[in-house]
Amino acid sequence: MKENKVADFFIGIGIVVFGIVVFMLSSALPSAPTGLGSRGYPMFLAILLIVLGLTLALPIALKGELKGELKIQFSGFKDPHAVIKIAVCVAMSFLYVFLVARLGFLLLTPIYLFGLMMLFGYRKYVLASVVSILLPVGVFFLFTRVFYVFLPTFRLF
Amino acid sequence: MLENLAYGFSFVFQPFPFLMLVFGVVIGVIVGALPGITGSLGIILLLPLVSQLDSRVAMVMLCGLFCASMFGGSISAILIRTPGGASAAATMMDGYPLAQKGYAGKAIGIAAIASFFGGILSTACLILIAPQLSKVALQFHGADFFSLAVFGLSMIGGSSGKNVIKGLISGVFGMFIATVGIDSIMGTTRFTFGSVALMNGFPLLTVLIGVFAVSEVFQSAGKRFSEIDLPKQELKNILPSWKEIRSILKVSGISGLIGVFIGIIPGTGGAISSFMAYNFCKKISKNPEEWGQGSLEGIAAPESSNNGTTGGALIPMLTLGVPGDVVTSVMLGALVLIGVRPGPLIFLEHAPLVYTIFAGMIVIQFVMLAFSLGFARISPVILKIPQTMLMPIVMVLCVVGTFSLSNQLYNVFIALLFGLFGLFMRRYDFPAAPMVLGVILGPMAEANLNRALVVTNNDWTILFTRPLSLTFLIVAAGFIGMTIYSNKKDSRKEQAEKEAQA
Repeated sequence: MKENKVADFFIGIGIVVFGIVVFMLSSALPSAPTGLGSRGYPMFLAILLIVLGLTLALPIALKGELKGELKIQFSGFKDPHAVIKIAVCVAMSFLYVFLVARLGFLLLTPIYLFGLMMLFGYRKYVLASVVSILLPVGVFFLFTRVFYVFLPTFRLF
Repeated sequence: MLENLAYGFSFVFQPFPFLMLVFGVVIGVIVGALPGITGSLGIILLLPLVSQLDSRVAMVMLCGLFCASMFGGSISAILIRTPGGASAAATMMDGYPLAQKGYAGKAIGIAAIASFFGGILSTACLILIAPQLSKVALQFHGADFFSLAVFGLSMIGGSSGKNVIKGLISGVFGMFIATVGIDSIMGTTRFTFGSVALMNGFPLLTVLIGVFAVSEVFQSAGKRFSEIDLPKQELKNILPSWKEIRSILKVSGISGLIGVFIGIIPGTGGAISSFMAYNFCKKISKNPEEWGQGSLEGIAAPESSNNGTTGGALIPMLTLGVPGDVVTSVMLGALVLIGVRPGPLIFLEHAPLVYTIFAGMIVIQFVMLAFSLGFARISPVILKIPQTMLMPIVMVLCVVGTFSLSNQLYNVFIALLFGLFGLFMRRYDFPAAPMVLGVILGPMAEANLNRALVVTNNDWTILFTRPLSLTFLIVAAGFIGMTIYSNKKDSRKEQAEKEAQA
């Protein structure tokens, strides 16, 4: 509970800072003689964010719930490996999207799908391999032949 | 109206639309039954198909999925004591005990029939209320629409998490996200930092896919999935007797109406209505002591209520452009994708679509009932699909779905970034639904506030001098105030209990 309060405090402060940045950026936008112009609405939202950020952070600081806990802990998951697994999943997904433009959907997706299944803990290797190959092939043909959505294909340059 | 409805029926009963309606129902039951896969995720996965279909066919399919996913949740709630979605959590309280007594089939049958009653009632309310509300909404001033957006956001912000402030932050942040790109008032680029790609802003559906679907997969990566322990019993006696059906009629009617009413209020949805209906009907029941022990009424109340919300949630979504819950937010995104902008003019601009939805909703209830009763016997098969295989497949379909929306990998990157952001929000208890509603309502709020100010020569008091606008603002402020007060009261009570235990 204490950990969440500390995190909430820092998130609240972050939102205030973000609101100030938005306000400053908005003030550079053009205004209009009547109505909101380009700047009015984002400035209004920035003020709301600042007020809400303060409302989140201030009570925690005023109640003294920060004493001796001025660090954010990210160890909230019961399983210590959970954070690593999530990080690997995120990294794999970004890498996949980065590489798929060059290596193509048909080549890369089976590897990605199989890798994700292993990461999630699926251990029936034969079935995982079959699904990892058949699903991307099916999706590829469905999209390119039926929907006329051309998924990325392998290219050298 | 009857002529329009007749047109709707004639369209729905054509072979292809009817086939897609049945397809939506089947997918809805499946995604509803699978724990962790929600109706909104189901719709997200169907988006590539939606973009290829005629708008009427697409909407009939999505409505089928929406309604059926509500019922689908009861299957896992009854069989394995794990609701497929939050809407079915209340069904678990009597469905599982009845299944433990050896009547799992009967529990599913009652859930199907109650869902049918709730669905029919909500469709009737949708058909009767939506056209009238649309006529009223045509008289709305810019200030009224702005206050309506504030009202919608405060309702969803206040009701979708333990901390109202976090809900509101999430909503305002969503409104900010919607300001990125070329602004609709002066044509200026805002917060694009010179990026040409950002000039069009963040597409709604990309944000939705990221925040709801991708973040769900990311979060699931950190979970440990155990084998599902399915009951060994054979599912039989699925069709309840006439006496049993009569015994749930009153409860189903009341719960359905509760569902419709809750569904109309933005930001609520099936989870809230099902618990409200369960508690209310238990109080008025002749046999309240049977509730929680496998009471048929205890299954009927939440199931009728959560299906009651479906039509209710469609009312503000279609007529005001304000979605009633998360699933209708995704449906609104799907409507925008197929070129339909919901709002008061929808009955004038897209009457064939609206009446096809009305007719489709009626047909869906019958198809859903028939399919649910017929399918109940083999429903445990769905629950055998391991999450460890399902989630990676969902991820690949999300990537393909996002790509297909614009044929750009850039959008897939954006979806992944929003997935990461959604994960952060889940971790620190920031509800995602207000953010999505903020993205939807942000442009509406800005355009209408601007219109109100231009008309009144920058007179902000217009927001408080127009009766309707003032009413929306008072209700919004009152709701937030009440929620903050009740949260504080609950936390004080918890604190006192902890101290007493210590």
